[in-house]
Amino acid sequence: MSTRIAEHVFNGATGSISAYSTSATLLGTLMRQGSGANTTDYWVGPMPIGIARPSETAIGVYSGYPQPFHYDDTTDWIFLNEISTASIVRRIMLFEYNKKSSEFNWRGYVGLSFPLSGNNTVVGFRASLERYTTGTISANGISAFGLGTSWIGDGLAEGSRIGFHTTDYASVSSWFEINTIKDDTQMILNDDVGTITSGTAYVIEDLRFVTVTTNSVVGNGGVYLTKGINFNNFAVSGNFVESSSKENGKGTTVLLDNMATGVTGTNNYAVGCAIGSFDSWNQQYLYVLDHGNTTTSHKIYKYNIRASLSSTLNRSRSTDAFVLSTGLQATLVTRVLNNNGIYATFNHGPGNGIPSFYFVTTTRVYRANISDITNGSTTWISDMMVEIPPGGITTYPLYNVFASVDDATNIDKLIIVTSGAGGARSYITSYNSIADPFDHEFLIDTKQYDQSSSDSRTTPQLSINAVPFHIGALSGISYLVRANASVANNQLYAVPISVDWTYASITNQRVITPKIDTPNNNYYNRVHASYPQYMGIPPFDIPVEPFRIYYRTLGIDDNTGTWNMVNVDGSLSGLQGSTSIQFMLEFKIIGSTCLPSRVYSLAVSYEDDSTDSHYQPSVSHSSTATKAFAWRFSTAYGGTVPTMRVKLYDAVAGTLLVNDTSTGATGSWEKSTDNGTVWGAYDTTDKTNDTTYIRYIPASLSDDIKVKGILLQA
Amino acid sequence: MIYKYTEHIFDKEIGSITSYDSNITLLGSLFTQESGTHESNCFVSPLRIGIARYEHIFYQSLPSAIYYDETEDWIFQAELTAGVNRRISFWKYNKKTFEWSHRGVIKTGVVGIIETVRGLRAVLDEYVSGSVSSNGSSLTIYGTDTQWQSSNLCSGNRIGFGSNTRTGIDRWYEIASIDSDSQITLSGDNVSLSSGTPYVIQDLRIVMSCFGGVSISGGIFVAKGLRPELFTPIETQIPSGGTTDNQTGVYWLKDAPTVSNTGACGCAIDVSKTDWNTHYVYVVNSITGPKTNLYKYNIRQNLNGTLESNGGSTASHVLTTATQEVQYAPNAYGNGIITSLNHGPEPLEPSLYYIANRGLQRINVKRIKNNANWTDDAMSFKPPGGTQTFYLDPRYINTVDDSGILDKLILMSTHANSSRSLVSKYYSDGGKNADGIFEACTFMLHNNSGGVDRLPKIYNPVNVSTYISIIQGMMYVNRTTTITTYQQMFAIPIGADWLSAEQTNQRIITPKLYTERCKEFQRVYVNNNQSMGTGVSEYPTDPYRIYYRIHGIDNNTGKWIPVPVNGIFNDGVNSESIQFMLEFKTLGMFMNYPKIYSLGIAYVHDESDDNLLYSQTKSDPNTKEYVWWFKSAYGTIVPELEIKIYDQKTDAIIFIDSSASSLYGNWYKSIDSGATWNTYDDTDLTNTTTYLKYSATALYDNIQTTAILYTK
Repeated sequence: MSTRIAEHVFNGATGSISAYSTSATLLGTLMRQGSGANTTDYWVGPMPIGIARPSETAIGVYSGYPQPFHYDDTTDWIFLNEISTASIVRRIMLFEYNKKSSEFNWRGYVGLSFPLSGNNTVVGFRASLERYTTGTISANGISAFGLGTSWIGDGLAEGSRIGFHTTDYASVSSWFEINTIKDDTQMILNDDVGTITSGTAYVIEDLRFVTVTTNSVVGNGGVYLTKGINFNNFAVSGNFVESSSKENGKGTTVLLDNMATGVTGTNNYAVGCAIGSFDSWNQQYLYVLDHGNTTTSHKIYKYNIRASLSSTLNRSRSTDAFVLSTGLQATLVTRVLNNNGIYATFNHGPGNGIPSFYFVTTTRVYRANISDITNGSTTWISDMMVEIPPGGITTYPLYNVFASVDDATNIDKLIIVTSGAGGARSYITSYNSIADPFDHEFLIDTKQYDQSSSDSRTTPQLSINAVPFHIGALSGISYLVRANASVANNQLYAVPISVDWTYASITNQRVITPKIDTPNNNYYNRVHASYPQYMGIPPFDIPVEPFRIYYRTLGIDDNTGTWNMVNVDGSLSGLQGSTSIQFMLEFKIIGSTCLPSRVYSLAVSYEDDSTDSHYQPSVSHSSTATKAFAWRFSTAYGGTVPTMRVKLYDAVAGTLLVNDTSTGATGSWEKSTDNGTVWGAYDTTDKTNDTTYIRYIPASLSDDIKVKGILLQA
Repeated sequence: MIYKYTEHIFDKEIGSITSYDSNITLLGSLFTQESGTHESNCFVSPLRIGIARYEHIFYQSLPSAIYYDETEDWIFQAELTAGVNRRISFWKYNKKTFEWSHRGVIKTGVVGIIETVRGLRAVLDEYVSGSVSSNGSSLTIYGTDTQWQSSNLCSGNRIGFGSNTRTGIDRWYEIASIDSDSQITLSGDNVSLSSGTPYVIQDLRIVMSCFGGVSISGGIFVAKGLRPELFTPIETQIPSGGTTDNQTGVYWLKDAPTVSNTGACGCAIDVSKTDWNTHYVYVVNSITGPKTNLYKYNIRQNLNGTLESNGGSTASHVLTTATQEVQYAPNAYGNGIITSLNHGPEPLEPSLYYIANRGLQRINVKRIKNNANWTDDAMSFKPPGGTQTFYLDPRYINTVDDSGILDKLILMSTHANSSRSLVSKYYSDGGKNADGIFEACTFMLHNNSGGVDRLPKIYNPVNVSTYISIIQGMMYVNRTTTITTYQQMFAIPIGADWLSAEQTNQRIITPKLYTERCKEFQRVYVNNNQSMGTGVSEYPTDPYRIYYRIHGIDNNTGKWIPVPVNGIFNDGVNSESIQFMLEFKTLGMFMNYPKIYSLGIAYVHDESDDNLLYSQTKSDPNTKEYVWWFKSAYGTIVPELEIKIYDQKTDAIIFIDSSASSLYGNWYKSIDSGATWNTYDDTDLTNTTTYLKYSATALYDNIQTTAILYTK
């Protein structure tokens, strides 16, 4: 018997965990297998953390308020707006994130000019991306004609882009910008598209932005709706979009709640906004949280960002989108003045299945049923959640510095971000109104900068740096921007939050190894993993978050076997040998460093059924004539010899012919201490000299067969 | 190909790394191997972190640690709130069990006014010169070749008999009086000592610098004539020393009749006394302006004849430097150490290091002179990688201490805004970055209700200032805050850090692991915990690194080679044995040390090709013929084969021979079950009665061998 090891190195075939196979490494959608020139480039684990530096782009804009959109399996789009010092112009940045390589690409920016004067400070930013494919189209040159279309009626905007021959935006090979929408069935394009026959499928990408600001001129802040911007407008050299006084024209219009009070309306103390679900091409609501110039109350303004603005549209102002405003309702201290509010429907808690508006004060998360947001209501808040750290206040202190709330997506949890003051950590939790402790505390302040001039031996890490993060989450990836107007601290990160092991049973974000053969296995010893303990190069090393391992030896082929968690020391003590084993990995990411681990290889050690290492086969004392199998006693045990077992195999067929033990034997066991001159009764006395041999003669064994004999501990 | 695995589980014999033995696990002094009933209870790691809570005692800090023996350190702390009769707390820390015990408290007062302790140093000296005897059973002890009185030993100190090492003393006795250089009187029980009996007198004294901002609270205060037994739960009052020196009492060391040393920021003490009459203390003094000057005192100066009724004396004052203007005042608490670093502008020169001007100042103590200017050089605080890599506000570096065995300075942060601390050599050129940055605020609580036992014992500074004392690689860290929730003290084995492992030998070395018939090493695997704690309080462990060697194992001469992060070995490395060494990062982000359960090496085992099966029946040791049954076809011509003959006893290779060019024997082939042996050829398997034979011509008689046959 000797210790063997069976190893799987993560450099082979991979597949999706949703299509089970025993011959490939199976990956959850947010798991990756790396590759490259070095052996350390081969690993499995959660997708690495991606990083972009908005303030170090050519335009160098301090940015926040991330708004991510799924473009395809490879790419997400992330729009950002400015967090810089108040200015007349606010710029929207577009980054593309490659989910396969974890790399960002800065696409460019679009500058917005606002209809009202004064310098704007962005306090809320939301984007909406919808695709219009109704009817069919034909075109000739720059003119296009719709059949079954309602381009005006459905509020499509000039400046949007259109693609032909498909309704699948991802399949469009060439996009064209819409110059003018003349009516429901006629539009003019910027460029000649040649001839497109009638009945052709098409897709229009409708991208619109809501920028909520406060303004240096009291009353000139508010809600700005920008339509008609398309992907191609985002350029490194930038493009500027003016305010628009045309219904569905390309540009920005201010949405006022009341023209009668002048040009400003009353929604002047906004602290954030949230966009509701897309109900139709004529209805999608926007909820703007406003403190009404009080320190202890909030109200909500409701707008329809797909409403026709034409009836009151004047000098880029309109009240047509305004739906209602609630009355002020008291909230507990202290108000949070930007990036405040989300629209979400969680499947737990008091808001289970109920579309709700969530917002924060520094010590509370508030929830309002969307249906309760009615005109003039002063009881529109449904309930609230107080800060109770995980484990309670005897495990972690209260920070009392909530800064924003977001939807973690995929795991049915809220992300509550703090201001980071004093290094305050953030939370991921279910919502409750009964003072239950939060589920997770996460992030940590390591004071590390991730600017391009930082030491090249560092690894990007979500250090708090006494700064709040703005978060936009999409399909399990959270895009976090450290919201600070400095080059040192303004970075955009992509973090696959929802891979966290806590939620693996829901998300299936795991790695499953191929079936690993363990031939000649007597019993298992231990599971072993090779992985980096840290990222970065010392002295810039940062510990990675842990992972855990499960195994199964049954139900591998048909994926029915129950997974068993491996103990922290890897021990498989007591697990009987089998011909194969399979492993599953789950990773933690919601932690302190939030750096997910990666695994280079997994292995299992086991005791095989080869001859025990204390013995060596002896040719000279074995005999085909007598069918005696002899071994030299080569190494002492250091004590009593344990019960031994002989296995005789058919060497051709591999079948087991004899399986006998030294106690209660069916065959004959003998021992010699004089080099085989005299054979006596077998005993368990340890090796005494170099001429000690033992031999076994089976009770019966067929003639004329090739036999392989092994001796091992019983 | 068969992969084998040789593993060492850390549940076997251990020894000190200073006594090399390739058969056992060797541990540096700051490492432990623990055991238990479950496999996961058996591991090696740096010493675990011990946590003491003082929130139920009183607000205390400025720890001053004394190495007592291999098991125990003594730690003294001062009451930090302003008041009279400032209390000193005495703790013991057991480095084997990682447990603290609070032994008690003394009250020290001298002038009866409200003051704040700014600096604290505990000093334990042992007098063992000569020998002692008694006239039968007596309280009177006589010395031979002793100078007890002229060495300034104190009544109230303790004495033990029968050994001149502290660990050899079974019982300690209080000294009631020092009667002369050769006579003392005990209190309590009589003793009976024969002539020539060895002994130990422990002279324990506490040095405090205090701040009240006025002359009657300035200077420094020395409590003499102490012994551990005075520290009790009922808080023994140590009175003013009065007009007699060297008795249990507090003495006020003044720089002048009207004290000008009223802005003490700490007290730095020479690492050891010069002699029994000389031991210098330096006080960094802050003056409004901001300005600074230094005071030097001799705490072993005999004060008799100079003492005022309140224990005050100017006799200990040695000098006061000139006053210098500074841009930023020195930090107010625990500021200043005397140490001799083995690097920097003046290696091994005792120097005063203290924090002022938002940097670390240094002056060679030889150049601290009366009325003279004094700063030699300074080090600015720059994080590793520079200020582009870490945020570091120099205002937040709060205190300095010498790490000791690491030959680095520890620059502790106030932790304001979660700021971190630095470990570094002293760089006076102003341009170099610190060597390392450590700590991170997790905010995990360890107070009583939070559960010092419920949560993993991981150090974190929770955003409050810490003061430290380092002795023999152990750093005692006090979270210094009036917030009782955070009032804990930690024992951390920073000296085990990999930063200076080559110098400190703070490592773990495995026994020699045997890898018989290793054809090629594949990969090292280590089983350890990746994190400590569970659920909401789970934190990653700080890293370790692995080295290996395959030569010079038996005599400890082999060079250690780093194992890459994925544990993979370079192609072709092989040996019959291997040994590993582990180094740990103990000055890391979490001070959370991994437990190493086992370590093993996977390797390719030298085996015959699977296509061939050794035939015992057709092999013949007498004729030195080794025969294999050609079990399965190669699918092509048979590749060049090699035979390797091992000595069964030693596993040493006797020779290797090739089927392409044979040197030590002849190759044959049979296709009729060995009835006819023909010249060997590389034709693939044709029938089930094909055998290959190697007949050795160069092999000694009467040796037991093992042969393997494989594709070259």
